[in-house]
Amino acid sequence: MLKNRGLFGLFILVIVFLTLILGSFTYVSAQIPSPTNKYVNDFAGLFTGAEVNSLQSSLAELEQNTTAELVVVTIEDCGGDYNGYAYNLATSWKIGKKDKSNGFLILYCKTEKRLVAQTGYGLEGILPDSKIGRLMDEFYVPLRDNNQTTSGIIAFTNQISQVIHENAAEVISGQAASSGGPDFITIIIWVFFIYVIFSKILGAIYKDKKRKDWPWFIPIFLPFPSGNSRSGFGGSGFGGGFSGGFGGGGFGGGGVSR
Amino acid sequence: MKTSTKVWIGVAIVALLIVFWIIGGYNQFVGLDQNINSKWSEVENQYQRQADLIPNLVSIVSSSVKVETNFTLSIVQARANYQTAQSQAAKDQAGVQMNNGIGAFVNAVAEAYPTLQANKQYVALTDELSGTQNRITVARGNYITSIQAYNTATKVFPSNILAKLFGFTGKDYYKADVNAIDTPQLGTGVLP
Repeated sequence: MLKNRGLFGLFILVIVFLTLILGSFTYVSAQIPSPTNKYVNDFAGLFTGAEVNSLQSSLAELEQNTTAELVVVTIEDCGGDYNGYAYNLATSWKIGKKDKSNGFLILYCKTEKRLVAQTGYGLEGILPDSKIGRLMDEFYVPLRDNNQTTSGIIAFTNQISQVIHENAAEVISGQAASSGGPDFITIIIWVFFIYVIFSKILGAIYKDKKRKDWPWFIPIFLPFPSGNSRSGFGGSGFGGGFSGGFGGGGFGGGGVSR
Repeated sequence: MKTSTKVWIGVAIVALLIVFWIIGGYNQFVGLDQNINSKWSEVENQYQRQADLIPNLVSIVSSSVKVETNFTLSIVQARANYQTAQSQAAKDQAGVQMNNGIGAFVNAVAEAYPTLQANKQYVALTDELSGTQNRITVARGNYITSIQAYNTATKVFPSNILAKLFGFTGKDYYKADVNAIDTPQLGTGVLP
């Protein structure tokens, strides 16, 4: 039997906790793969090993210097609606730092032969749609039309990276992205607070007797947010194929493609 | 400790729990309700962005190619309708018409004036317009999701009890009033 009633109560709290956390996950569309790498996910197998390495190191350096998360992904088939797919991928991976939403997705859909860019909220100021379009027209399209699609993607990526570098100060300071739903910390505080009250009150009741049954049913009545808001906890790190995960940034949906 | 004291303490604990639950639940509903408003603001934000782009669109097209007056009339009118709309429903209806009108306009221009595709200013503008259209789609989706979260909270147990207690009733889901959308009449004359 349990020796420490405190431990048992804590155990129940942990169960309640996990239910809260797991309950508020948004389900990711089955089609969207999990990332295998932070910067380059070449699912359609377009790049050479050397190209991937070079791209990864320059994008890692970009994040180091500016905190922006610029991600390149190639997909075999985007299912037709490439704009929607790009938006879904960017938001389900939550590219970009949570407080700044400075993520940028460059997605190439092989079947649709389409390059799609998705801008995080925080980068919309320095990378408006028209600018992205112009960069695509100048750096990606000519190479693509010359059957050098991967070189075009790399050239375009470098241009975007350059813009972010040039505006590093603005990108680093960034504006807070809106995050809805109950705060993770608030929940923790609530539960801890109540647990402490319980321990004290019930300790007072039972201290002069031998250990009686811990009123285990009480933690079940803990106030918890009923009806999960889907904008929930913004949790990351449970589903990623690599350790670390993305920052939790948000996207407005503006997309440019060529 | 006397038994009656323990009972009272027990009652007090349960009462305290219920109070916490009610407070938490009420705040939850307020939060969800406010979230709906903020998500709708974002939809209107994007409609406004579109409205702001229309004058540029009209002037670039008019100055680049010869267009008959009626050609640009429909989107100019759609924009005016949007600016004067007051209620959320009216704004949405006008916004949808404006959104559709721009799409139809850009397509018509592309067909009639393929040379405009070489005009960088025009291309930049159409990028902005299509980006805004995508954002409207996303903003609407987020708005619908926020209503869904609220409606779910009013229905699931045990928060439905609180919903009834505080008078939070379910809200209608967004649906574009399909019948209300008139296909914009583009100029019917021959374009030079």
